[in-house]
Amino acid sequence: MTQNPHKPDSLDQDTVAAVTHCYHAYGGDFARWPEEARNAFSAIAKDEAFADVRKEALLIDAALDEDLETKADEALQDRILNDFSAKMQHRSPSPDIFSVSLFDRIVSVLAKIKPLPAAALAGIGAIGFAYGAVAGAGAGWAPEYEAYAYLGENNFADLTEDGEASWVVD
Amino acid sequence: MGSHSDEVLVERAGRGDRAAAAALVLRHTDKIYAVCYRTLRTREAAEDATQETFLRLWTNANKWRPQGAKLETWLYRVAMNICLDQLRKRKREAPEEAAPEQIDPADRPDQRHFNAERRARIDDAMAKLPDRQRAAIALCHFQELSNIEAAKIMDISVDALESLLARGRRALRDRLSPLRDDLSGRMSDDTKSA
Repeated sequence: MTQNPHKPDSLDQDTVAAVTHCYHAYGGDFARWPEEARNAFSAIAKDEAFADVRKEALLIDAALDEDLETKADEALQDRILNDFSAKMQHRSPSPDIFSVSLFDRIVSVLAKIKPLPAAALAGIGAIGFAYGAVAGAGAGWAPEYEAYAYLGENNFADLTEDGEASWVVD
Repeated sequence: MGSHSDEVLVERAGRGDRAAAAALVLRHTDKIYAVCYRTLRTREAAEDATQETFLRLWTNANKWRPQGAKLETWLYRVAMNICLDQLRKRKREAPEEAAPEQIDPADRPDQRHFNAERRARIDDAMAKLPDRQRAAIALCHFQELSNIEAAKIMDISVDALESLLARGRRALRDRLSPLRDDLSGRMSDDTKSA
């Protein structure tokens, strides 16, 4: 690209290079520039020093803007939805354990338990307390286990380009 | 249904909700088709690539979790990979016909409004760009994605993306140099009409 030899002294070489780079990569319309570059350079970029490079960039923009307007056919949308229906039909129906609420499941379990004598319940409670005291006396969770404890199902999140699910690690 | 977020719709589609799937199709098909068309340059190939992209979404919808990648970015990325794979396949199978075809003039609904010869030259220049340069221009110029999003979709750095854009635009400039005056005239017309 041509550079104007009469560029003002106020424009240092780095700025000239950065502005020229933006024109080359993003074109002559500042709205298409990355926000940071737009904020930093859009005023300077109008300087006469960049007239040639700007004109070139706008010419390419004009050529690109003549490229075809595209819109998908409605028949394509129908085909995509038919794929959806076919996919769902072929998916084997598996019992979804999460479709029943936790509350309903607790109620159903409790309904099956017959009342136990108070003494038996007290005994079970005492055994549980004693076990907890002994187990708690040991070492706590190692730091790495504590970290894993925060990885819930919601971290199972990112789909790779092949459509496989993968772990998101921050 | 149209007011729901992509995440909600994907989650519902994963459970077999056809209305949610329809809302996703309505929201994203045009954008995905456009980027496929600009990369592959034929209507049929672009439709196949778009259909394949959504098929992968349906296959994986039940695994989708809301904290992951933005759905639109994921769709673009899948579409772009399908397109670039298809172009690579074309080159392997018929190297001499590797360049994407020139757009059929019948595909141009706005034909009355442009000079056919100039359009043909522009189509030709676009078709002859290297695939990844054309893809970068499709994402940044036509889909108006940010450089960060486009780089993520193409799985490259922002610097590499900018390099593809600059080289692509430079190649277009060189190929379209015979049209300089014509395009300058149109730029002036656009300025006047604006």
